[in-house]
Amino acid sequence: MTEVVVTGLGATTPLGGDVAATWAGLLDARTGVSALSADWVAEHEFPVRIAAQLAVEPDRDLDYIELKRMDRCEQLALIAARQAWRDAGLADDSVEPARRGVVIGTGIGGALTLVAQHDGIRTRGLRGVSPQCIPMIMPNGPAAMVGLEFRARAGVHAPMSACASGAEAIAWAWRMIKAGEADVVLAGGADACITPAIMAGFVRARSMSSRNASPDAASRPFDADRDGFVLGEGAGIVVLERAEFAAARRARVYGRLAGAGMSNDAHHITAPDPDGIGQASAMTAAMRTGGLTVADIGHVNAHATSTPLGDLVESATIRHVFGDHPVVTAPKGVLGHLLGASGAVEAIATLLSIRDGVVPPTANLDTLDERIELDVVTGAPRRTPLTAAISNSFGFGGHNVTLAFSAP
Amino acid sequence: MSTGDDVDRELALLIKKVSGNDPRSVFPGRELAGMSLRDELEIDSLAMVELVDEIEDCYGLAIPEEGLDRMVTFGDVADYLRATR
Repeated sequence: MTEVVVTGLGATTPLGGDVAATWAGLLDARTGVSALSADWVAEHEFPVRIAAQLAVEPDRDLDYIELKRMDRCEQLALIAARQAWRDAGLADDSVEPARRGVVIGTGIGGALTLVAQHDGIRTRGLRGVSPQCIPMIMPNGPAAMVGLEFRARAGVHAPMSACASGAEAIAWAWRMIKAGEADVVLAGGADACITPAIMAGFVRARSMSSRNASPDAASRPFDADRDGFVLGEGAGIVVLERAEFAAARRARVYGRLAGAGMSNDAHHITAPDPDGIGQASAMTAAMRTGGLTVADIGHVNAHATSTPLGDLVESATIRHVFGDHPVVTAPKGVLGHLLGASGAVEAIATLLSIRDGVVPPTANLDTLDERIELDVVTGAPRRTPLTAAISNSFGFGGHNVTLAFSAP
Repeated sequence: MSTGDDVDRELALLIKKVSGNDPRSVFPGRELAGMSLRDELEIDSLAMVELVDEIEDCYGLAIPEEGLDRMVTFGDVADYLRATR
């Protein structure tokens, strides 16, 4: 049977411009959330005035033309993909283009470009719109830009499942390798849409925290006083590889992507099914396809966005599927919600937890919601040897994705 | 054709504005006229639209679209400008 391993990691997040800085930030519970200083926040009297903005602007890593011809979410995908490719020790002749794939999702896509072009046509007419704008706006843009750079002729795909997109991309990449379609796949997610219309949409949906006076404490998954998520931006990309291919080139292996489960609630366009049937199905399928049992899963990296209902449903479902033995953490306490990137960045965190035998704390979890009966890490990182762990991601549209990783 | 005249210099700067690269420093010592816009100067069909905008703004021209396909090299554009402006 074809096994799939992870050999490279890349990320740019509100905690840092790479994986090492992001992982250090997670372990330190150092928040990536800060006050949003953009003019439009005051102009429109936004009730939410905080966000998890990138720690390192893309102009550190990209040249003039890359910055000009790519939307910000595409830029972040490319930065993370280059890191992951380099981290995997891949060279251009390591794998034939015909055996290279790319699967990168986004929750929103090129919103910043769309807004800028709309402004352009209003102020300057047709000439105010760039001929480059369609490839910058299209939601397959991040996948396509990375596919172009790495000449991924085995296939370039862009699954769209809102906040589960990054995880779903990794699941599809796993399927590509399992199906024999590729040997090496760059997979993950990217989003960068801190702009008035998107933010207002989430505000109007009453999804966001308005704890403006204390940005550090705004994102508080599983806490009794949580009041919504904090919008973030970033990208996470992993290199997935057919295990035999990785072994043949003596690649360093972070872990195995043992299984992946995908399901849909078919319940409501934004709210999770309170019974967690779809979520449970994804978690169970990830275990089953990975040949793992409940006893193997020592850690759950939760989706937990810090919304009142979402955290409650997920925690009850984790408890139902696994009991209370897995060590649970919710990285969005410091990362904020990176939308389509979150599942990929959190998959990276899950792998590093297995590698290092340590689970980062959940930031701002001062008082565990009394209805949540899980072993959630708080305060400081928890040392615990792990052989397998799962990462959950759920998205508007009822999408549920669970990835199951195990030690190499 | 001279490679050191005003048109060449101005066109090189407009290409730099669009592609980020000044043709004079991409291939130092080479004749500008023979450089391929698409293959050597990163001016693909989308960037060509941007370049035309820049040229039109700079020279106060309106370049007809039907002529664009014939502009393949730096020299093609420079010759057109010398003939038109």
